[in-house]
Amino acid sequence: MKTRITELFGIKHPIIQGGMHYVGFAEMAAAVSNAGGLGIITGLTQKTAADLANEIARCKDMTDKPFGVNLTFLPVVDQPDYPGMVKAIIEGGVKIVETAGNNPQSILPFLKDAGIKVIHKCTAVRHALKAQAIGCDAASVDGFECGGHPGEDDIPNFILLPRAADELEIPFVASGGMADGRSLVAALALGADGINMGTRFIATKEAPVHENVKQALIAASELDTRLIMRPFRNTERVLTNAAVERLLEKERTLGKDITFADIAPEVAGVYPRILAEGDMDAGAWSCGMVAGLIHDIPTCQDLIDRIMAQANDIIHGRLLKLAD
Amino acid sequence: MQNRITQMLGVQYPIVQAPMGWIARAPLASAVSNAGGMGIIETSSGALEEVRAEITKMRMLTDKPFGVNIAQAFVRDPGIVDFVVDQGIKFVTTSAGDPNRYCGPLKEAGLTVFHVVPTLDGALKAIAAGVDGLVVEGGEGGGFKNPRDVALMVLLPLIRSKVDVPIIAAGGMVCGRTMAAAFALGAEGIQMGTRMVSAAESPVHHNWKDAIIAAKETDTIFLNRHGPGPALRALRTEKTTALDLNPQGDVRPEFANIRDLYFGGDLEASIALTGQVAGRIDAVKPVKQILEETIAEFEDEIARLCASYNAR
Repeated sequence: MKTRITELFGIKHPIIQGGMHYVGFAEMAAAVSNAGGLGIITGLTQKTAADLANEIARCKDMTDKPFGVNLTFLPVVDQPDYPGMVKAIIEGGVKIVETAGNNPQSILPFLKDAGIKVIHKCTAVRHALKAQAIGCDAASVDGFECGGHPGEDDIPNFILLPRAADELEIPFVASGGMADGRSLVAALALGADGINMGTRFIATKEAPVHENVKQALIAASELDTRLIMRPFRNTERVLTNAAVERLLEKERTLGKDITFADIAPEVAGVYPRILAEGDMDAGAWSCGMVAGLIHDIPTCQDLIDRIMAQANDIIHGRLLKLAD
Repeated sequence: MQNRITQMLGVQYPIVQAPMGWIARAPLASAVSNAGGMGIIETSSGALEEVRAEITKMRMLTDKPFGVNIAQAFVRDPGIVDFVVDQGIKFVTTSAGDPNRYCGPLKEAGLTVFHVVPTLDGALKAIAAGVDGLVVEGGEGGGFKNPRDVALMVLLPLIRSKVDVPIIAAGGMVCGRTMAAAFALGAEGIQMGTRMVSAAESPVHHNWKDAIIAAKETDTIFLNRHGPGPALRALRTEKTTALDLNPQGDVRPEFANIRDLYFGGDLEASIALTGQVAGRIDAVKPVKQILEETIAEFEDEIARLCASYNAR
C-alpha cells in the first residue's frame, strides 16, 4: 500500500510503532521495520547519549530497513542531554525522528541539515498546525483513545482525524485505538495517511517486555484504562491496577492541594519494575483503550501482514460491494 | 445501497436520526423519513400524550417508515409497549435501561428492536435479550452517557467481533467519511444526533443551532462522571462550565427549564445536550441535503480508497 507516509519514510506499509518508554528498544524497532513498518527506538529510555548511540548501532545490526528514534521533550527541571542525543542520532545515520511533548523547534535545524525527516506527535489540531508551520514533515495525530499522554482536550479520533485532514497539508498518521485492518481503513477514510500503533505492538512476540505485561493486555477490557494526573494537566492514560486506583483515590481526596510528591510512589521510576520485571501492581504504565481489542501475541510480521490483508479485504470486498 | 439495515428498516439509506428528547418529533422525523432515512419519535420527554399526537402527525407528513425510541430511564409507564404497538410502529430503539424489560413484548408484537449500548457487556446483554440489532454509541456523542466512556474507534470493532446482528454506529457521525470509517469498523448503519439538531427542519431555537455551528471540537463538556444521576455530554456554556468546576450533585433538576433553552434560545437556562461532532458542523442544512451529501461522500470515499490502495 502506497500512501504519503510510505513515500516519505521509504517503508512498505503505512504502520508506525511509536515511541514507548521501556518498550522501544532495538529489538522492538528492528522487528517492526523488518516486517515492513517503521520501528522507533525510544530515546529517553536510554540513560545517556552514549547508550542511545549503542542502541542505534544494535538496531542497525538487526535490520537494514529504515527505523526512527523518538525524542520526547518534557517540562522537567533536570533536562536530559538532548544535544548529545541529537548528535547520536545524526552520527548513527538515523533518517527519521519522532518528536513528542513540547515544541521541537530548537532541534529542528540540526535534524533538517542532516536530512532527517521529522514526525511530531500532536493531540490537538492546533498543535499539528504549529508542527507544520515550524517545518515538521509529518504529524502523528493522537486521539483521546491513545495510551500515554492524550492531552487535555479529550477528542477521540472519529472527530480529531477528519478535523486534522481538513486543516493539515503535511501527511499524518492516526494514533490511538489502532489495532487491525479495520482501524487502518477507518483511519484512511477519515483522512489519515497511515497509522501509529503503540499498545498493540507491546503484545507481540518480539516486544522486549515481561510476559506478564503482554498477558495483562490480553486480559484487559475496553473499560480498563484510567486517566491519571489530570489535576497536574499532564494527563496519562494507563491500565488500571491497585496502584492506579490508589493514585486516583489520592487525586479525589486531596483535590486541588495535591502535589507530585503525593503520587510519586505510584509513578516515579516504576517503568522498569513493571515492563522489565513484570511487577504489574508496581505503579502506573501507559496503555491505550485499544487493549480491549487485543486478544493474542503474534509476531510483528504476522501482525502487520494480517492488518494489510484485512484492510485489503475490507476496501476491495465489503466496502466496494456496498458502493456498487 | 442495500444492506441488512436498509432491508430490516425498509429505508433507502442506512441513516437513522437520533431520538433527542423534545426535538425528535414530527417535523424533524418526517423530514428524515421522507429523505430516505429513518426518522425516530422520542419518548424521553415523558410527555406521552404529546408523543401520541406527534405520531398522528407523522402519518400525515410521511408514508415512509419511522420508528420510536423508548428511553427506559425516563419512561416508566408500563403501558409504553401497548402504546407503541397500538400506534402501528414497526421499529423501536430501546435505551438507558435493561434490554430484557421491553424486548420480549415488542418482539412478540412483531416489532424490530434495536438496543443502544455503550460497552461490550451491554451489547452481550442485549443480544441475550433477543434484540434484532444494536446502536453502538461511542463517548463522542452528546446526551446522557455511560460514565465510563469508550471511543467508537475501539468500541465498534470490539462489539462487531462478538456479535452477528447488524450495528448502527452513533457518536461522531456527520458525513460520508465518518460513515465509511464506521462501516470499515463493522457498522451497517449510522445514527446522527447533533447533525440533526442543527438541521433546517429541527425545531430548536436558532441560538442553539448557531452555537453548534460556532463550536469547535473542544466546545463540549463531559459532566457528572462520578454521579449522582446520569453522566452527560453537553455544549460548553457558563452553566456547564460551572457545573464542571463545582459539581452540584444530581444534574437532573437542571433539565426543568430545558424548553427555555431548546425552544426559547436561552443557552444558560439549562443544559444543551450536544456531541463533539459540533466541531465539524459549519452550516444549517435541510435534512435531505445532509443525507444525500453523506451518501455521495461515502461512495466517493470508497472509490478513493479503492483507487488509492491497490490490491497488493
